[in-house]
Amino acid sequence: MSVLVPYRSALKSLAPYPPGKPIEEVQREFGLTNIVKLASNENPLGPSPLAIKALAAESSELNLYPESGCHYLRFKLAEHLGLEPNRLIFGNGSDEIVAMLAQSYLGPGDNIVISEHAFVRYEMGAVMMGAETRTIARLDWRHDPVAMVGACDERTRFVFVANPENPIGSFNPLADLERILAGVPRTAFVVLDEAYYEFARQNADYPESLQLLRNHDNLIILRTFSKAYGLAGLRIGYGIGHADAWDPVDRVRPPFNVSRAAQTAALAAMDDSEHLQNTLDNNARGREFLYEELKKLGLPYVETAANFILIDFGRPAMPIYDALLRAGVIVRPVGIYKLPNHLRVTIGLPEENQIFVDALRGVLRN
Amino acid sequence: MSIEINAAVAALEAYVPGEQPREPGFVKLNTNESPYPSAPAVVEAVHAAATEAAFNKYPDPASRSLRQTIAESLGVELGQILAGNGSDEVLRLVCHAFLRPGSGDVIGMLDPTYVLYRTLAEMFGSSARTFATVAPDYAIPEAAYDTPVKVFFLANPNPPIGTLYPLEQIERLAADNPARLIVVDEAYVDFSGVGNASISLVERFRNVLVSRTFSKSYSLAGLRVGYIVGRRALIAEMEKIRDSYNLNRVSQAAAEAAFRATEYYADKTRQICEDRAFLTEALRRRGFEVPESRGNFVFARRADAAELYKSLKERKILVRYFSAPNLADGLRITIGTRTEINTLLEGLDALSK
Repeated sequence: MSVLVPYRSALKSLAPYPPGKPIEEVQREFGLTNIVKLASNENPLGPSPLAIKALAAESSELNLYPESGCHYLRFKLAEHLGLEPNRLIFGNGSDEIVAMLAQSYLGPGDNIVISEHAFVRYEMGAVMMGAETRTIARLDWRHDPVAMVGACDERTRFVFVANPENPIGSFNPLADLERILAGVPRTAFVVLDEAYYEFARQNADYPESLQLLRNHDNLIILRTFSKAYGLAGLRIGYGIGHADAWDPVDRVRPPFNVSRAAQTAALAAMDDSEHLQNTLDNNARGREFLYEELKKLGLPYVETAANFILIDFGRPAMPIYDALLRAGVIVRPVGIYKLPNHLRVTIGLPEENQIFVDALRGVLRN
Repeated sequence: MSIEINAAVAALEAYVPGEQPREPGFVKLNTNESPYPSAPAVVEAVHAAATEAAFNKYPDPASRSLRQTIAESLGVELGQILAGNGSDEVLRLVCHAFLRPGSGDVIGMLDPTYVLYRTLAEMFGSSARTFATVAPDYAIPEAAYDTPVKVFFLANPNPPIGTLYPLEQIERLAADNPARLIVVDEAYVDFSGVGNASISLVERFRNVLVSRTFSKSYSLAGLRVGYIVGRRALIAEMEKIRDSYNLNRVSQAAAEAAFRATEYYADKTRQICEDRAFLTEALRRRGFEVPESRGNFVFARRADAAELYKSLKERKILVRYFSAPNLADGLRITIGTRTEINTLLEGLDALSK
C-alpha cells in the first residue's frame, strides 16, 4: 500500500531543515550527562528574570485565544522604536515572517537574490513557492552590493541581506546598504535580517537601519526575541516595514500565530535592560577570550558582530564536530551552508567557552 | 509600494476571527473557547517551564515528548503525528503540501462550515467547491461523494451548526476516490461523544488525515497547539515544509500535561455537554430554532438575530454573528459556564420585554 495523493512538485527538492542537535538527543546517543550546547546561538545567561516572573504568573487565561495582532506588544515596541504601530508585524519566530513573505510575494517565475552561505530559510521559502534563487558570491565574507544589485531583474521580489549574516558573523556598513537600496528595483524588497541586531550595534560602524525606512518603502527589517532577549524557546520575532508591505502578509498570517506565553514574556523582557546589558557584556568578553584561544590554536576565524564565531579548520570539519560531540560539546556543522571546512560555535558562559576550548584542544591533538 | 503581490494573495480576504475584547467585563461566548481554566497539572507545567528558565533554548524541533504521549494513547506511531502552532498551522500545511499551484486543484467543503478552509485553499492558488447542507439534518449532499476534488475538508462536528457525521459517511467519502485526500477536522470531537473512532480510518484508508486541537476541550487556546494524524507518507511531506521550531517550549509542556489530565477535562467536557442541553432547551423555549449540536456551541436561529447580536453586545455579551445568507438569521453561541449562560438568557429576556 502506498499513498496515491500527489503533492506539490516543489517539495521534491526539499529536505526538512536540520536544526541544531538537542541536548537530550546527544545525552541519549552518547550516554553523556554533562553537555555544553554551543550550537544554536541561544542566550547563555538564560531568559530575563522579569520574563520568567511574568510567564510563571501567566496561567489564568490560557483558555482564551491570544491577542491576534500582539496589540500590547505592538504599541510598546512601536514607542520604543519611534515608529507607527502599523509598521510592525509579529511572527511565531522571525522564521515565520520569512515564510509568510515568501507566500505573499513569490510565485513561479519570480526570483530572490541571496549571498552564498546565506541562512537556509530564505532559499527554502523560494523553493516552497516555486521561485528561483540567485546566489551571489561574497567579497571577503561580506555581501557584494554591486553584484547583488546586478542580479536583480523585474521578477526579483526579495534581496535578502542578513546583517550580520548567520553563520558568518560579518556585516556590511551603511554605505553598502544604501548602495543596495539605491540599485535594487522598486519592485523588489530589500530584507535586512537583523536577528543579531542587539549584539551587532555594539560595533561603532554597524548601521542603524531604521533611518533608512524614511526614504525606502521597499525596505523590510527583521528582528527577533530569540537571541539577545533569550526567548528562543517561546518563538517570537518581528518585522518592520511600510504598512502596505504587511497588508498581504497579514492576509496569509494565521490569526493567532503568536502564543500568549510568547507575548507575555516578550513584553516583560523588553523592560529588562539590565539582563540585556549582562548578555552583551558576557558576549563581548567571551568573544575576546575565544579569539585569543583560537589564535593560540592557529585556527583562522571570521571576526564576528554576533554571538557566534565561524571557525575555519582548513579540512573537512565533520570529524572534528563528531569528536567534540563525543566530548560533550555540541557546536554547529555548516555543511548545508556550503562551508564543509568550518564549524560555528556560539559564545557561551565563561566556563562553557573554557570547556569548548579544552575539548577542541584535545580533539586537535589526537 | 510597487511590489507585485502573489496573485492568489492579492485576491485573498483574510480570515476574520471572533472579536477579542480588551476591556474587562464581557461575557465572551463568541469564539468557542472553553470557559474553564487549565487543569492544576497544566498550570504547574507552565510554571515549571517558566521557572526552569530554559526558554532561552530553542524548543525540541520535533515536539517528540508531546507526540509520543499522543501516539501511545491513540495507538499510532510517532511518525504518524505532526504537531503544530494550533490546528490552523496543520491545516495550512495540508494545503501547502497537497494543493498544486496552476494544476486546477480544488478543495471540497460543506457550506456552512469553518471558513478558514476556503481562505487556505485560495492562499495556495486553489479554489473551493462547496456542498450546501440544509435543515433539518444538514446531511452531506450526494454530490460531495463523487465530485472530484483534491482535498475534502470535513469538520466533524461541523461548526457553526454542530452536526456530527457518522463514521460510515466519512468512509464513503474516503473510499469513493483514493486520490482524494479527506481531512477530518475534529476540533470539537471531544464534545461529540464518539471518542477516537475516526483514528481507525487512518489505519484503514491511505487518504485520510484527522486533525485535532488543544484550543477547545483542553482549555489551551492561548498556547496554540494542534496536531494531525495520518499515514507516515502523508505526514512526511508536511514535515518538509513545517517550520523547524514551530511549537514553543511552554506550549509543548502544557499540552502534554493537559493530555495526561484526562479526568479533569472529561469532567469539564461532561459539564459543557450538560449545559449545551440546558441552553438548547432554554433557547427553544424562547422561540429559537436550535439544531442538535455536538460541539461546545449551539446555532440559534430567530428572525431578529442580527439585531440581537448588537443589543447583546451593548450589554457586554459577545456571541458570533455571520452575515452569510444561510447563517444571517442565527447566532453561534459558545457554551460558557452556567452563570454565563444565565446572564445570556437574562439578557435575551430583558431584550424581549
